[in-house]
Amino acid sequence: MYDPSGLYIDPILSNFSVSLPMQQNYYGIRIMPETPVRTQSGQYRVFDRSDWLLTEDRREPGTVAHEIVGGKWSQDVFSTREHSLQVPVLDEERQQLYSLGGLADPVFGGAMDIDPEQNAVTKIIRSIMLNHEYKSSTLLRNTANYPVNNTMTLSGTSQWDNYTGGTYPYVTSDPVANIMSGMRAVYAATLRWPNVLAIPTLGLTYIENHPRVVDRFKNFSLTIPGAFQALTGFVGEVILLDSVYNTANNLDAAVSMAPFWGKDVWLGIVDPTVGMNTMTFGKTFAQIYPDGTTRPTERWREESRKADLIRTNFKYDMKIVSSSAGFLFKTAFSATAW
Amino acid sequence: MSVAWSNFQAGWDEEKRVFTKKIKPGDTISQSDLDVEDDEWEELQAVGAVRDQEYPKAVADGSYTDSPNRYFLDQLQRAAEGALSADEVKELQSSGVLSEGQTEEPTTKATSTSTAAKK
Repeated sequence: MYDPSGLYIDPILSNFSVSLPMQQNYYGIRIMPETPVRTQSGQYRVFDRSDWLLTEDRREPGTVAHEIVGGKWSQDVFSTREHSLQVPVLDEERQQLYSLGGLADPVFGGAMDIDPEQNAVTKIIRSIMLNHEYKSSTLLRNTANYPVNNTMTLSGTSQWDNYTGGTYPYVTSDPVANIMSGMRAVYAATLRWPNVLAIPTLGLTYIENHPRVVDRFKNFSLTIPGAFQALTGFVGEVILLDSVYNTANNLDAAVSMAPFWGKDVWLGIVDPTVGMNTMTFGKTFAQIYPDGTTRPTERWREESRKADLIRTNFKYDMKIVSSSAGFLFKTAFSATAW
Repeated sequence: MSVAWSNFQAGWDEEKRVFTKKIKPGDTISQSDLDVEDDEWEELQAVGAVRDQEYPKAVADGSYTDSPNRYFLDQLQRAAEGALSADEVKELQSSGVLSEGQTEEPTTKATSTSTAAKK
């Protein structure tokens, strides 16, 4: 006899209800903003200290004015690669949803908020952006991508979750001084203050309760606007990093969740303004498709499979365009912090 | 021999309450310098803050103001053009960026250039 309760363990539909949240926040695309480009490959503007050279500008009568280079272009080129995934929406899935006795039947509580096509796109974008997050975090967390003065590795008692020494001023670690030294390094190289501080979410609590921070805080109300900025001396946007991925290589392997951003903290200049002339730490060069977008979604029917196929594409490459606009605190928190 | 690929603070002075030693990228570094346990030292190696690979001298002394990776990219570009000196080739080879025999010796540059010029 037909038993509608069996529908609730349908493997296809179960994925919608028991999987991890469909979306999470991604930070790589915020720190390495998208810059649309019309070609697959090309040079890009880089920003260094050549803009601050004193050039002889005196012109004597009858002589030609001195020339300066208009802008510095990269030695290498960005080269966009297509990142593309597809999801089949099976006819059987639709039948389960919409047929008599299906989940969308009013008899069982009315139409459910499940749109197979929308879900397919959501899953594709999530997977593509997870890969982007992985690539960008790998790029940002590599000390070899920063100039000599733009990284600091913390170890032992200098890590921010280590309160050895107890109260202020005896505590050894000093997130306030570290963050300020990072700000000075970025400013010295770019003449701009960094405007983004990216901290692992779980690391924030260690900073807020750090004796040196608490000491700065003791004469102020907790409710003051921008309390964190006032405490650490950093003025700008604080991004709390919490994106994770499953390190298992397939669905059957044991789940092992890992944070993309580990125990590192990033400080730097981010300007999301579109254009080659935008001075920012890094960019995601995204090639524009013929339809005018950078992430078109295609759909077609495969009768042999009795399925509609949904595919989304994203052609991009990431480049650091101003390495001195970033500062990396490597292992700011200990491995046992969380 | 381990090389620092990042700045480190070391040598905490209890009386002055400051770190007395600053280890810069390119300096040799040891576990005892940082006074850390084995697992933490291994983590520093795993994340690339400490490496066996040499840190490029030009980046360390500030004569090249960008990152080591950008430096290697630029040098590989110059290697493709045959514009590297013998010392620069050795540096790329010792850092593992360029394998032996991957580039011609600088002395052959003039030959290839003049051949190209004849064409």
